[in-house]
Amino acid sequence: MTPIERPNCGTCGAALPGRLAQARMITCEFCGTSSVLRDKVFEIAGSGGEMLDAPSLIQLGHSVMVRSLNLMPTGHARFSYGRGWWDEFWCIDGQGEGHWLSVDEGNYALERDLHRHNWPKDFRARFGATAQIMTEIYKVTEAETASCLAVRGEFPEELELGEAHLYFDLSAKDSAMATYEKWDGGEAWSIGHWIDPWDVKAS
Amino acid sequence: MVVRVVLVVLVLGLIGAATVMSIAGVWGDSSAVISTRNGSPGGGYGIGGRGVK
Amino acid sequence: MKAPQDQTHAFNCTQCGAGLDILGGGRVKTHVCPYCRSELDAQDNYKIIRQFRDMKRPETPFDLGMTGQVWGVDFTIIGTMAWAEYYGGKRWDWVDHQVYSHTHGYGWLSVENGHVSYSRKTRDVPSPTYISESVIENSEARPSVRFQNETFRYYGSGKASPTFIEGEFNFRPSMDDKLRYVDLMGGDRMLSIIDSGKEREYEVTELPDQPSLLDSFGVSKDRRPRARGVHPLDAIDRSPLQLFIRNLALAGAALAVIVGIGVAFKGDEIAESGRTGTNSEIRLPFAVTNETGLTQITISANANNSWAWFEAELTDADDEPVAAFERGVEYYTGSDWKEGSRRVSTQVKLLPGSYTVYVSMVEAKVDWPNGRLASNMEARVRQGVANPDWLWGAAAILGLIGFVFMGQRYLRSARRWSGSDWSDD
Repeated sequence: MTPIERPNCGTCGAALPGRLAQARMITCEFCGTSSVLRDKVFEIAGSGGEMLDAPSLIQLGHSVMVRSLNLMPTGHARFSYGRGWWDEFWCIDGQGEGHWLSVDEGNYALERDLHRHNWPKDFRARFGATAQIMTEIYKVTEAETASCLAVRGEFPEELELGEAHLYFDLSAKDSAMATYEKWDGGEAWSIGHWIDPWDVKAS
Repeated sequence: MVVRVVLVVLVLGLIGAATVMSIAGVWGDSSAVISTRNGSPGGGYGIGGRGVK
Repeated sequence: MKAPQDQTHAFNCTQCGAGLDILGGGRVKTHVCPYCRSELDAQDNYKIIRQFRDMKRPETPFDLGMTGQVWGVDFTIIGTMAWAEYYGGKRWDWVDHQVYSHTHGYGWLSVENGHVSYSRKTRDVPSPTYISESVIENSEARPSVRFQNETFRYYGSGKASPTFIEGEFNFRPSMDDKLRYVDLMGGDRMLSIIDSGKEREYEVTELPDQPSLLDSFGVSKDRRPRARGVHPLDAIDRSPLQLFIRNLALAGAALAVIVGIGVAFKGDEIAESGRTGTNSEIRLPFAVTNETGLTQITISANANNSWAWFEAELTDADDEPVAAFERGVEYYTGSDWKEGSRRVSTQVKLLPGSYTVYVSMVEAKVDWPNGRLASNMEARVRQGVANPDWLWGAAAILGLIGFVFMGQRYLRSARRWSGSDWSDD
């Protein structure tokens, strides 16, 4: 048990990077063990999983321009949906705000958590269903079961490896999109935009 | 880049040469002028000519 | 759980057993076996959906599995789909290849008239979102849409059906598909509105540099498509050098005109006779000191609705004749018009020295109502006068070069739109 001010990896003892005030999950860059913040201390959560190399425009620790937004990816999670997989990068912009940048075979989406009071009411999660978020109508275009394959870096929330959760991608007009996720004991909404891959410039 | 520099030099050279010829008055004699000295030793009026005297 | 890279990259056709490579990613929906033409469900254990028959293999420089680069991004050819469109007894053919990049996703390389263009789906929507057949039929002007802060103008539309399908696709193609498309052209992109009857999609098409594209895909010399005509997306100014030459030539022409105007005013007055009666002779001595330039002798007379003819003779310091000329003035005027000039200038090349010019009026005639014969005249002499014709000539040559390049641009733009099915009638 290590205090939050100077977190060390519970497995190998190396100092955890701890760059983020909002980091709730950090993987050790040396041994790959992930640690999770519980009651103000980081506890070993388990292995960060195996992250095999794949060509990517986004790399941890290398800033990336997404349209006019300069983002620093600090966390990298990989999810499997069975036939394939996609990556989610937790990124911090110049103002210190966090974004999720998801990368799925050239489909890029930039999303932020949706405040609970903006969550759509009476949403029935299934393919083709619609949801009104604020004034916009979104339609479910993809519904899959996914599980986390591997994590690297820092995250604002705990990601459990291997745990299956349901996710629903919703689209609205002008490349607006939203995601609804549901897992044992929780659910979450995020909202954002699809990004043209040619608008993503690695620096 | 070299091609562009060469082209600029060529155009400026053309304008420069034209300016020199213009100021020197080359081929500027009016067609009405008949010279008495140029190629007409007999004193008769010869046609055209630069450098009348 | 399988790690992503361990996933199988080959399988056996569930219909004919042929070994097939998996070239696309996890978003591939359909795999059409190139051997037995069976359409297999890539998302459900390659279950057979149907079998295509009577498909004629199209001519294309690309094969399944070829890899290359589009603007520096690696792509693999994963599918081939040939299309045909019939209209007015004519047939158009083109081949679309579904391409896949792990970083940039799915797109199309299309081969039409020997040009290879790259298209991809866009999630942005133009305004208006659709151009119907009746709008095209009934609008007076070429319809246009706004898309990503650019205006796209109507280029063409039609209905097309597939004639050949093989390989992998991120959707479920069918030989029965009938797509209505509307192409609109912006500066260097084409926007296509594609309506399958079930859904409407938007695609953006661009034209990559052809030789480097074909080189990167390793297309051999004998399979290179022969481009017919100008592709509508072919940039108007193919080489920036052409644009540079055009601008340089036009700027040079303008400079020559400015310098020409400047030198046209060159010269200093060295002698002036003052007004004298036309009944006597002007005798005006002057000294030329300039080595360069011309000497200009200007004769003016107050002719009014009449003409006057003058004889002039130049002598040197020894009173020997040097040159002679005859010039006339004529001047006519009405209530709202005037014609001719009361002044005539004559240039002559003189070496430095002392000269005298003799001017006399030899003939004059009134040949218009209310005319009056010239009663007085004047002679003025200037030296160092330039001959700006050289600069006018330079301006003409440069201007001509500029206009030829401008004309080329116009012709190219006209040819670019020549494939459009829009007519202003």
